Amino acid sequence: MTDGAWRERGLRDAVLRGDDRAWRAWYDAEHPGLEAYVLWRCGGLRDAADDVLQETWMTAVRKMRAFDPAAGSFRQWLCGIAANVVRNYLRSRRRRTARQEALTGEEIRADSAAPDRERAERIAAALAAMPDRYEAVLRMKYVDRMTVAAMAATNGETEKAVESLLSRARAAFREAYGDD
Amino acid sequence: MTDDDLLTPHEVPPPPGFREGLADRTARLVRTRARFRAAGRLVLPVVGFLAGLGVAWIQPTPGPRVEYVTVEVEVPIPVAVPPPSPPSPAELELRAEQLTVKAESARVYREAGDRYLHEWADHRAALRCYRNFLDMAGPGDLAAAREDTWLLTSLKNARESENPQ
Repeated sequence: MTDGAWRERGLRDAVLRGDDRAWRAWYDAEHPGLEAYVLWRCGGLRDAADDVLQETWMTAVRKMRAFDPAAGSFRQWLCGIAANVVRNYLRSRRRRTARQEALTGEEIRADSAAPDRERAERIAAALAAMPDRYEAVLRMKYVDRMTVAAMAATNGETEKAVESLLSRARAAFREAYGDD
Repeated sequence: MTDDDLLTPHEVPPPPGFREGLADRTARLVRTRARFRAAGRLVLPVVGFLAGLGVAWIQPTPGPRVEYVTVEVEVPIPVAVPPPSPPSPAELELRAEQLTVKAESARVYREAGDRYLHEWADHRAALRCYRNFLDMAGPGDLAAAREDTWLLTSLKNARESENPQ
């Protein structure tokens, strides 16, 4: 295991023992990254991102025993939980909207900001529908702001392969998003 | 809009106090769960012990113990005694030779002849015994009889034709 993995293992054990300070330190270190990821996955919708963030952190605490530092970093584990929470959130939101539309008989348009909101929801839905590999490379590019060279080093691939993967991921996103 | 426009995240600040509030809630959950785990570690052995006591209390008392005693009894095993085997035709012939009473010797010679003929199919030995029988037999035994074998009947007939009376 790497030094980071040993450190996260120590933090996990401390949290399982109920160490408040260890938890605060871990939370403070990971929250900004997770927040940026969740906000991106929600298409910039702040209210959705807040709901997802809250559910993700609560789930992480409840399932802390299942976190294995040898299998991946805490950040990756958190992002995995968040991705599932986003999918469930979008699914339940679609069901709720469909129910309301069925009751009122007309399409719901909340306020003047509706077009922006609709676009954000379409972005979130398109990201949720993408294969994990494409989502991961887009996240590295747009959320983590990594260069192609850094992505290639992280994935153990050539820069050309990463560029090709990015291109395919963008095309998949565009297809899932649809035309404006 | 380009893909970059759509995919580039926009900075939207969280509501004031959201991050701190969430940190407090998760920290409370961390403490609560740790307390439950610690309590579980203490309570679990006690619950296990009490469950064991309960099972022992519910279980019915065992009835009187039955002791099995092994008694060895000697049972005589019947041994099959083979019946004495009858003397062979050769032994009969020898006995007939050794007998001094003629009538008895004749009877044994005949028996030996019958057995040579039927059991051993030894015609030559049977013929020898029958001849001795006829030599020693009384006049009553020289006539052909129903129980005579074909060889003895042939011999009797031949003697009768040789010595017609």
